[in-house]
Amino acid sequence: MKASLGVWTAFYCDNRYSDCVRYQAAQRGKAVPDLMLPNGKILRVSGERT
Amino acid sequence: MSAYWPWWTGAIGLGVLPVAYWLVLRRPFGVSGLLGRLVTVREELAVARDNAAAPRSEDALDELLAAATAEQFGRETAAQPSRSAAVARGRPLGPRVGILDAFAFLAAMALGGLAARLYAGPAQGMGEAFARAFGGGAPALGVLLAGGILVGAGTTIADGCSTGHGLTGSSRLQPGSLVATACFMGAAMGVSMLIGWRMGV
Repeated sequence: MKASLGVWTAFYCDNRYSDCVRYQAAQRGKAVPDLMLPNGKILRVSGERT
Repeated sequence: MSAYWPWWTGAIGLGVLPVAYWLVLRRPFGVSGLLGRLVTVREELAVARDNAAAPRSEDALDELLAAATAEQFGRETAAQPSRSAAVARGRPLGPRVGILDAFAFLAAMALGGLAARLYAGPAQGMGEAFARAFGGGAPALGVLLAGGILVGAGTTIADGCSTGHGLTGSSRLQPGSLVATACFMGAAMGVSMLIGWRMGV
């Protein structure tokens, strides 16, 4: 999992954080799902993603 | 019976709560933030549903994350070790308290105020100075409404209130909170002195 997370961190947190949907939602004071990725997709058991 | 409890009883409660909240939950405590969640309760409940649908096992989460990573960045990039993964990023914040927990706190706060009022006796209103400055009835109500709107707008813009910045942030020596507290406390003292000077109260 660490390797996968590192890719997201390097791409969004370290470089394009303003494109991160989690960051944008938090900046607007909105609740952020625990397993929402920076591109806005939410990891769910069913595999259904938004 | 005195209308007010000794100052230090409130000071102890106000001092202990935000610090204990931070130590236990690793989250900054702020009443305006909890109140603000009432406005977005539908989104909060949707997020709670999303969190409930999260994978239970770490293996299932690994699988979903790896698939999403490959989809976004390609299989080769997703498989490469990343330097960022090994970098320690400090102690993370804890998860936000659940929306029902937030409601429970706000309800308890209202009940606490009610209990204290019942214990202390009839309300004293806004005080003599307020009555002399703004009178009563509609004008006084208008002043209070305007004040409430300013407080709500100000705490939203500043991302915190006297609890979040004044107690929680300042007790942790957060620079932004120290500046925010100095600003709103300074403005409050200045406006109070101005009103007192202009209206002779």
